[in-house]
Amino acid sequence: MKVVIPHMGQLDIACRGALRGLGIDVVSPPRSSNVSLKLGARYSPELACLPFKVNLGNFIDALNDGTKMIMTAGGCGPCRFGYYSILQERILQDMGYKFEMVRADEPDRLANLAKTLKEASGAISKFTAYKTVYFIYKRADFLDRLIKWSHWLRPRTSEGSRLSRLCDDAIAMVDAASSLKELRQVKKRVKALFKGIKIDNTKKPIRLGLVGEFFMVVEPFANMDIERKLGDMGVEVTRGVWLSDWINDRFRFNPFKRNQIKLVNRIARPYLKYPAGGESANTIARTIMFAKKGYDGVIHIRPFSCMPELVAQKILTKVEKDYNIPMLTLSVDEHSSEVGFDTRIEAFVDMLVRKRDKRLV
Amino acid sequence: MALKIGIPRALYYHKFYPLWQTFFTELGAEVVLSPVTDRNILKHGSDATLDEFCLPIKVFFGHINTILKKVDFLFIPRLISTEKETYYCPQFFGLPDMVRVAFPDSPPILEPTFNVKGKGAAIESTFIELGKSILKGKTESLSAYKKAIDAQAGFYSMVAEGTIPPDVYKELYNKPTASAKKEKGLQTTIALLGHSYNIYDPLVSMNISKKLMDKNIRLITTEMVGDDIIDAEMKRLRKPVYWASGREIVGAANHFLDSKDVDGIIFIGAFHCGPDSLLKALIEREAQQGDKTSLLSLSFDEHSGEAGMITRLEAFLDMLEIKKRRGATAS
Repeated sequence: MKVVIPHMGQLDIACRGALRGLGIDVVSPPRSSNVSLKLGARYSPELACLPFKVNLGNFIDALNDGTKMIMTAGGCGPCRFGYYSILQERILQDMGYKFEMVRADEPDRLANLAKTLKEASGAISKFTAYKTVYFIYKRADFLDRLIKWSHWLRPRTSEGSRLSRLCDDAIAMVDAASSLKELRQVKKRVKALFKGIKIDNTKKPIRLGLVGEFFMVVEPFANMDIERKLGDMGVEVTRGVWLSDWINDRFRFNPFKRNQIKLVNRIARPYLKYPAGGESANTIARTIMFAKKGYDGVIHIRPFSCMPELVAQKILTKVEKDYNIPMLTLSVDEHSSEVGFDTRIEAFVDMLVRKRDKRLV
Repeated sequence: MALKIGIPRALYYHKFYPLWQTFFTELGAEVVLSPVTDRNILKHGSDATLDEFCLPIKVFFGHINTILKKVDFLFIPRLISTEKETYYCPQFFGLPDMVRVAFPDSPPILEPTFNVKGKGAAIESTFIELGKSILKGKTESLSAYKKAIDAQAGFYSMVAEGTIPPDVYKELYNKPTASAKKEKGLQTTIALLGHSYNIYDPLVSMNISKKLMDKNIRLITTEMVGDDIIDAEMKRLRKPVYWASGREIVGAANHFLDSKDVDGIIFIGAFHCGPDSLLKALIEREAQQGDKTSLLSLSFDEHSGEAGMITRLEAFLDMLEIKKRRGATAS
């Protein structure tokens, strides 16, 4: 059965190899582009947030290519994301497409995920579902580690394009691995490859935290590839959200890793007593953590009119003053221009570099 | 001297005021209400928030600004969920925190957390906690809470009889009322749907309810629709709506779209309202299917012009009139 999963960072890669064993063939829609976003935005409500429109563009592309089944996640509030799939299904039906949509409502629970997988692949046991989710976690964990390495390497090397190619190759290798054993072998090979990148020790990168709404941070199309751009400018980026953390916080595959939800809620509490859904508490807490670790600045990225992130942004105005950390907020929708975006990032980075240099002198 | 507790005339004032007012007065506190929304309040609210917040939130911050200096406590409940299956808008979760950031000189905030989901406490114990924070004992709070619930139930029953909430408030709290003139020969019935804090706020909705009633139109609002109808409508959806007022709005809209009880539906949304952006699309798509009740959907922000709204409203009413006459001649 061919199933399409919308682009969100490396989510499709993480799922594909794991679901192959269940007979589910995950196809990635064509990479999100301005064309697919325009298409998605045309059929979306005008004030829906950006992820809705990007997802819908992906679905339309995939259905045009002949896929008949869509797999997506839901949720039960309070953010808009939980209701995406209902409206998207309705819009696609009204457009005349014939398809089936399987949706993991509240993907936090294994039972719900197992039900979704069953819908897509026929009868599977709960144990198989658990194994599958574990494998997805392992893959996501390694993919995230790849990104972490490139975050560290990119500002320190002059071989930026080689690094990009290497990352793509490594992701393709993970994509091909269809068992835990193969994944382990891939890990070894990729590690050796990454060691081949030359590091220029004279470069002294500044450090920036990247926080905000989940989709915007992890999806390079939505954030206009901000991580790569910052890396090329000589900035070491640290993300505030990770797909593997998201999975681990819900399923505790790695019990030694701290539960990030509890951690960020506690750190954000002096500013936000109750997390306002989405990544609001995470955004505030990570900003505080970055400030305490002595980062040079934080970039906050969110979809235009995102409800939880707006709460976070309002509160961040105080955090920014209290911890004296420079912040740049980027609000993105389908009309945002990449050039304007780049100018703002460059100006921000220039300012931070100058500030750092002044301090060093 | 009685404790002065400030309640902004915004957001869930339009729905839960009897509950809160009775509770605090029973406990011997004095409730200070902010004045009716005007342009100035909105301006201060816009200054205190970010531009992407929805209109009602901006209005709310403006109201806080007006009563800030006059009270001992601000009452800003943290509404998370009051029913098992629904949430309030995520921006309400952070309201007290945002107020503290926007107004560093604000008086202490009473911020009871209403959350019946998960590990949250029952509503009754939240009220006892609330009483404790203004130094009242458990029994006192409990009896005040009982009376408050009765007051709220009384409010609901008055609304269910067909009086819109602002008129009920007028009757309850402005003692010398000019006796409401009894409507006669009501020709048209219109369902006015939307968040209560949009519909009943005279500035946000540009007094649409009064404009309609002046035209001798009978209004049915979200609050007048029974819970059983909304529950039944939710069962028909692929997935029930999980926002508290969104659920009522979509339930009522779907009900009226199919029924012949009303001549038309007016849906009022606020620009930038997250839930509205999706639910509006859902309602509009439903309205385009086959033989449905006519729907006018309006969305407002602080730049909306009243004239534009009136034009659209009149055009819609004229259309309903024509439709009705045609229906009468056909049958």
